[in-house]
Amino acid sequence: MTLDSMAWLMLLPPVLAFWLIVLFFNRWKRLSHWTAIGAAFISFVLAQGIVIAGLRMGAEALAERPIHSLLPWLPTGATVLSLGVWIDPLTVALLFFVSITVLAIFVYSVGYMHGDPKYSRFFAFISLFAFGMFGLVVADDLLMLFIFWEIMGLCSYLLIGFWYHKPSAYRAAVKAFLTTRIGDVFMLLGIAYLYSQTGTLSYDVLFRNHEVLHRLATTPSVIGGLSVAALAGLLLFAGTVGKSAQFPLHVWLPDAMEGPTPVSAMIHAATMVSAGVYLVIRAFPLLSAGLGGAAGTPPKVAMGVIGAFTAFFAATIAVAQRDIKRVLAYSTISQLGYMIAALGVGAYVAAAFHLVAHAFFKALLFLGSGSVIVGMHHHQDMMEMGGLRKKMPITFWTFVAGGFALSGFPIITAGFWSKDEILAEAFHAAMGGSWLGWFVYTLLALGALLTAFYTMRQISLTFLGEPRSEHAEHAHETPWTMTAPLVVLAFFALTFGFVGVPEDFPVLGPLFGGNFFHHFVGATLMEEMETTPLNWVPLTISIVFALGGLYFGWWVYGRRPLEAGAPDPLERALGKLYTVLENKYYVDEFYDRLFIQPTIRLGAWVYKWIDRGVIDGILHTVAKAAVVSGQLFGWVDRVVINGGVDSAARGVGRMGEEGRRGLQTGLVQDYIFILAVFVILFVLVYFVRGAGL
Amino acid sequence: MITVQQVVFALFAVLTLGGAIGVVAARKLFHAALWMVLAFFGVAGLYLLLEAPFFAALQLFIYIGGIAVLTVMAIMVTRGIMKPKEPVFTYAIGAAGTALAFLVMLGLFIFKTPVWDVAAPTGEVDPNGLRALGQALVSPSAYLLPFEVASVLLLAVLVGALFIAREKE
Amino acid sequence: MEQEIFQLSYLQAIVPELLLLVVGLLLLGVDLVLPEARKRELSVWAAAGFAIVALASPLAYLGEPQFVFGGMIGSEPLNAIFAFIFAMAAFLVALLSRDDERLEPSGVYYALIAFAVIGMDLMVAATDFIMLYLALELTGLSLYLLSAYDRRSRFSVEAGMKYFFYGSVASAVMLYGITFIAGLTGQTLYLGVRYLFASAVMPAWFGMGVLVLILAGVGFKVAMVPLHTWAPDVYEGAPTPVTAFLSVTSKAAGVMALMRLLVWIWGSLPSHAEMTSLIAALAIVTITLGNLFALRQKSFKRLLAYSSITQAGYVLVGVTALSPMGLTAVGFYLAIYAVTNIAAFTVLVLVSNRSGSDWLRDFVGLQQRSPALALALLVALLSLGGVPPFAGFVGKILLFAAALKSGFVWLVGAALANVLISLYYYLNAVRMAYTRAEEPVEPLSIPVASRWVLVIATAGIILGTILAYPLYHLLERAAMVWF
Repeated sequence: MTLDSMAWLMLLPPVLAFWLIVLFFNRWKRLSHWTAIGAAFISFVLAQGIVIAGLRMGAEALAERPIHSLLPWLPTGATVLSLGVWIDPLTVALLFFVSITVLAIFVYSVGYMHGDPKYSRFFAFISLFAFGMFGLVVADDLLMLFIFWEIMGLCSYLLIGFWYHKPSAYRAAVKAFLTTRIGDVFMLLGIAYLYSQTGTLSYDVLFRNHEVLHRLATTPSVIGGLSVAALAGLLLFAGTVGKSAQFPLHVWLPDAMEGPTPVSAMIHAATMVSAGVYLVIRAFPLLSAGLGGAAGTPPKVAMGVIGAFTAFFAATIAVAQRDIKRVLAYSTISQLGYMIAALGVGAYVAAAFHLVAHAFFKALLFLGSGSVIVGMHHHQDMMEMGGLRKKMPITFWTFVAGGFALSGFPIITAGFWSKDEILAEAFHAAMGGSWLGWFVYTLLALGALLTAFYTMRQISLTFLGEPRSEHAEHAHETPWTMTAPLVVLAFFALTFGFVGVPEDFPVLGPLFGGNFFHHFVGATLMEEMETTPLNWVPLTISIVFALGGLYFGWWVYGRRPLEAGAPDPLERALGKLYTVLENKYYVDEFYDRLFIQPTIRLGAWVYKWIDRGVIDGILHTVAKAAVVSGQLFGWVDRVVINGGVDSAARGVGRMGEEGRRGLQTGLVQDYIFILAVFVILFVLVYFVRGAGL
Repeated sequence: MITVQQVVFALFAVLTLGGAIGVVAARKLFHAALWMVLAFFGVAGLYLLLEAPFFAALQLFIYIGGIAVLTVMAIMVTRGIMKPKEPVFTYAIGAAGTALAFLVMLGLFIFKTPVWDVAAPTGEVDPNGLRALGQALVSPSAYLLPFEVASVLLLAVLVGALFIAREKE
Repeated sequence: MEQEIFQLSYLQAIVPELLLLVVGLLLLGVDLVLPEARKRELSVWAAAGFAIVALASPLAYLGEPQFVFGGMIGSEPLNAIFAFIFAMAAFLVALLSRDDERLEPSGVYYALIAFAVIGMDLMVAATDFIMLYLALELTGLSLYLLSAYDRRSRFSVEAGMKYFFYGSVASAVMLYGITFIAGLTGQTLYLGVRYLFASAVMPAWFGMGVLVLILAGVGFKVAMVPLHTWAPDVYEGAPTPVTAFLSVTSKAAGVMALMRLLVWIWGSLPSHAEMTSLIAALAIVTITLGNLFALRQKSFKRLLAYSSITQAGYVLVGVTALSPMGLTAVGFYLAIYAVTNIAAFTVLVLVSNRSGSDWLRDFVGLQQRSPALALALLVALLSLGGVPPFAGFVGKILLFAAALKSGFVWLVGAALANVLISLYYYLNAVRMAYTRAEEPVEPLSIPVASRWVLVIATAGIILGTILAYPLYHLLERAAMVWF
């Protein structure tokens, strides 16, 4: 079997499973989940097959000649927008973690969704989701990427609102859908713009053809000062801001936690959101094409600023959350910010590395929190937990593994290596004299400290100390279908980092094959990426911050466990600031005031205006025109004004009192009147312009 | 110098326009129908002036003999709409203004268009004109299809109108 | 004296129309002999007839593009394709009419549908102004009568009257335009008019002015703003199957007639750029206004009415492109839109059979009452909203790509923003269907005829994506004929 046919085949099982379950199997729960898991397993095997084959081929060969196969689908004139698969080293890296996490979610769902009335439907949705994710990863052009992007958006909408009878879930679903759509519209504009400029959307041309890149980077765009590449890049990045929940479009993700399950939460928090980061990694050659200011091209500056700010901003919010899932949600936003910021300072490989590592440990944490929630009989407030360490040992230890990876615990966690690479690159950029480098480094380093702190806070509040409520008292370990995925993911969360140990790191560097990941993924760009030399300054700072944050978290929450009903110690220490953080800086309220309320009011006003204003205006104008022309001719004045116009004006006034007004008066006379006005007006306009009356 | 023809034209024109104004100005529907007959008559006269006696005859037979009489009868057998109602005139001035503007617009077309493809009047009636017309209407390479479509149209209207107007049993 | 050339192939070129006439007359006849209790069977007869017409419609293309009947109509692949689309729409609507419990369809009803389809086939095929006018009138009059068909409903009769009045004025205005053309050029054949238009010393304003006059008649069929005002009232008042029928077919026929006029005549004039910007402006106003009004509708039927206006606006974006690709995209979208809208209206018919009204709130709990129906609604509305992977998305991509290719970046941008807005009300309706009802609900079974309608329409929506390539290819080859 050739690699490209494997890639095509890999897409089929999930979508088949979706239709089978929706159309035929939805009455049989076991059949449904076996269908879904079977499909996911087949895709998993095929994906890993591609990964192995890709590794065998070697990075250079694969980057030089990516596996590319086309299926004609939408021919538009001269250029064919065709369906195609594209496998290069970056795709391989993505396939590796996507297939593992997807399979883990599927197995885990069997336990988590047990007994849900809409069990089968859930499996149908996540199958469709898997289809979207796989398709996105192997897509060979931006249109196909966008289609799968939207399929995932649809799934996320369906899954967040899965328990639609809960109003909060439904509202969250709509919010997520609309918020991400804002980004998508910009992104689609970007895609359209690229298409109109180049006549193609294929990666091969847009991101690999130096001539095209050069042309795009040097052609000025419709907006002054920006090249076509920069403008298109910014528009594409807007899609990422929506999908990956970056400031200011981050508001949907925490609400998405209203969604019923940590499973769905993890789908769109740990897996789907990485699609946004994947987009900017994929489009990196375009985003960095051309020259910008000292800090880099405009898209890179935007990524650096927004990413770093989001990373820090979300981390501060995470510190003051009480809901176990919300902490993880803000943590996700923050970590995605790291990746975006990394791209902003040009750390292409580091971003991809952190993307993969983060997917493992964040999936682990979400599934772990789900396990806790099941154990706690669906209570999510961390203040009511505590002491779960003994009741749920597997969950505890795996959660600790994930938490330490998230904090960047030195050497033995994947998060350490990946986050450190980002920080090292940012520091390197700062040393190079870039203000963006300084900005990114400072915020990310502070963010790392906060990350370690809130992670330890979460672990302490949840697992350490004594039970603080009835439910925590009676918590129990979850079934193997839930714990087995945890163990598998914990393994990767701890060890995955070793594929990317810097070459010049003492002992470990040579031991683990000299930063294999960097060379493999870095080859995608087809130019030698020099590895940043090991610098002990940022490394030391990272280690100190990670350990310091963890220790500080333990010092506040773990050393003297919280009593039941006691307030958060931080609340006393931070005072008003704590309230601000707890309320997420009031961004939602701000948006409500600034956008949503005015939009509703504007909508009402526009309707009123069109409805009442325009037609009245036209009718009055006609009446007035009659008056004016009447005054011109005296005899008309006597005959018409006294008799007709007054009554017409009265008639108009009378009509004004009759309830239904405006364009849609229900009176066919008005409709015909509008037709006549249109015809007369336009004919006269053309006449005046053409013949100069 | 005013020719006889011009005088006759003016007469028929006044008849047509006067009739038309009467139709829209009449307060009673019945009166409006009668004004309409007058306008039709004026149009028939204009056809005569244009040396198209066949059309003049058609106008008399179909419009005055058929449509107008049918309209009058329809009004007479329908109760309740004989009386004028006030809201009918709500739009009088608006409608008049709109119609006037429309007229101006049409005038622009007629007077500002440079070339009209109108053959100079020969002063004689083409003896074959009617025959040619008849042949064109049934010739497959001329107007056969539109002619047949028109008959389908009439069929549709006939059937549909009968159905709509029929008393529910 | 012109030669009387008559070839048998002329009759072949109008096979769909001849068959439709036969079907219409047969239905009128059967209606007379069928006892009252068995009147509903007529729908099956009608559907069978329309299916035969649909199958026979490829015959209308004589193998290579040519004029027949002295240039009155053309025999082209595109005409055959649209004859097929219209016959399919009539087929689906005939089946649907059987299941609308508020409607009592008779032979007259189906015969009028058949006559309307004749008119629409000819609107697409017409290559002569007189032909176009008659086709327009035949379509119009049949539809006016169909709208007023439900005599027991005050709204239906009112809808028919309004539609009739408005349509009469619109076609009268159009007739003025045709008169000026005929007067100036002495011609009514499109090609002759184009030749004289392009060669004669004709002021630019004349071409544009005549276009505006003709737009009144054609744009009225399309329901483009500002000629849309009749649409919401008529769509709301007419019996729902009739609304489904006229919101897709007469709109499609109007768009195709408009596109042919623009491509064949106005596209070749010097004032060409002015004309495209007029259409582009009308397109965006149509989209936006339709959307704004749809946003606040509480009645699902009225919502669909405004949504149809918006959808016509999207099609006009493709018309603006005035290129083979634009024509292809327009054809594709109209076909997809036809099945999608019919699916949505079918759901409406079935729901209001029980509730007796068209309110959006009647859809609450639909998912519990009939999951299949809710799913069909979901698919139809998402397709209308342009959400992938449904065919509406592919159609929009094609339309917008065509406009982009012709350089209308701003138009596409504005249209995209509107797609975003429209999602709101489509999703709102979906939400209703998927909201759990407070009180217990009775299950809603789908009658067999409607089941077929839904299966065919939904299959069309999904196949439109999967078979996008062959469909596009077919349409593209057909579209090339015009250029």
